Amino acid sequence: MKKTFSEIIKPVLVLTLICAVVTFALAYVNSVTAPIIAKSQEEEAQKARAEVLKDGDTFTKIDVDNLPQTVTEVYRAENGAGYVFMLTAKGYGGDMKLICGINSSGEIEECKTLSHNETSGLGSKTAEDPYCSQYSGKTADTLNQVDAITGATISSNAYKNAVTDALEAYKTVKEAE
Amino acid sequence: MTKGQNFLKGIIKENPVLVLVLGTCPTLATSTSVSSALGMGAAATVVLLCSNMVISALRRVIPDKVRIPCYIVLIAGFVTMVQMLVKAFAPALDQSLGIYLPLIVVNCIILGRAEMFANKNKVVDSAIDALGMGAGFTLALLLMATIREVFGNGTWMGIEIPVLVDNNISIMTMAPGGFFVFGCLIALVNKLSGGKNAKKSFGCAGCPSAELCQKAQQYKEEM
Repeated sequence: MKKTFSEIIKPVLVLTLICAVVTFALAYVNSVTAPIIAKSQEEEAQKARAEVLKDGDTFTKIDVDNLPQTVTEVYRAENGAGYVFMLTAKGYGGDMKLICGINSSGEIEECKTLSHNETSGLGSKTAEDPYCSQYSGKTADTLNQVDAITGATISSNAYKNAVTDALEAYKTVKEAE
Repeated sequence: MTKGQNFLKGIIKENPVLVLVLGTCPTLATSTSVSSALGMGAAATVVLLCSNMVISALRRVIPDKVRIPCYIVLIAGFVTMVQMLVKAFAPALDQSLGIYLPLIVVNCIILGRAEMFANKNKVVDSAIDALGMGAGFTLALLLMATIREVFGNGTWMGIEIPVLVDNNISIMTMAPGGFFVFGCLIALVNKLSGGKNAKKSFGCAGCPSAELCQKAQQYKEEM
């Protein structure tokens, strides 16, 4: 009888108990941090939107059909300054998340990389300034003037195609309204 | 072993990265920049400290049969907590560590210390051991990150270094450069210590599953 307890029941009990305690501790930490995480993510997104479209005041999400696959979300500036597009492109090392602000005359105001997994030192340069500032002021017609980065063709192409899709989506959105 | 020796062994004699060669994956991945190396080192040290103390405190309660699942649950719990806290209060660090933060769960250093030290020693000693090992891990990461960032990117902690910033060797920040620096550092440590570092106690007999492994038992008998 004694053997059964220490050999079988005790291990089960101890493991169950440890799991239960850890679960409760995790649930508590999660309940404390979840609102803070959600708030900081929302703030981050709001800040990014305001950065790529400086004249916009408040942004509201709009639903549009028939968007290119890379365009995940569209936001409209309430004062008519333009639209902000959230893009997810397939880069060299996985998804690249971009944000692109297009003003009311169809010009790109600014493009920014939110997150990427590109090769550091090569593809990662798409997230930095000499490259992404090229997009400012470009329209659908002048987009081909953007120079790619040497050694990072796939990342550069992914970036450019995503921005092309954003301009396409801009046209769709304009027509729909 | 005095408390001082216990602490110092993690930094030089039994350095987890350069002598025991544990936790290689996060070492290579997060040593591309000094700031992420510091973040990784700090996060791993916190987890190691918590897990070592709790496992040491519970060493008489946890039955031998289920010790590994128990350790894993505790370690995973601590890692998830650290991850949630980092996400909430240091989102930039979370961005730079990426997937390697949750992967601390499977960092061999932490389970290795639980098996080799915490389940046989008192809480205070285990805490000192954890701090020493954490410091060793952080310092090794810092050293590697310094070499890789200075030569690969021409910066240190984001501060640009003249001349080097225009002549960077970008392969140093990529995986091959990581392996290269890692190998050089291990060779250096081996050379400095005459190649005698702790090899014996961490041979087959020092393996966590030595008790279950026939070969290790044989080896032990022959010794």
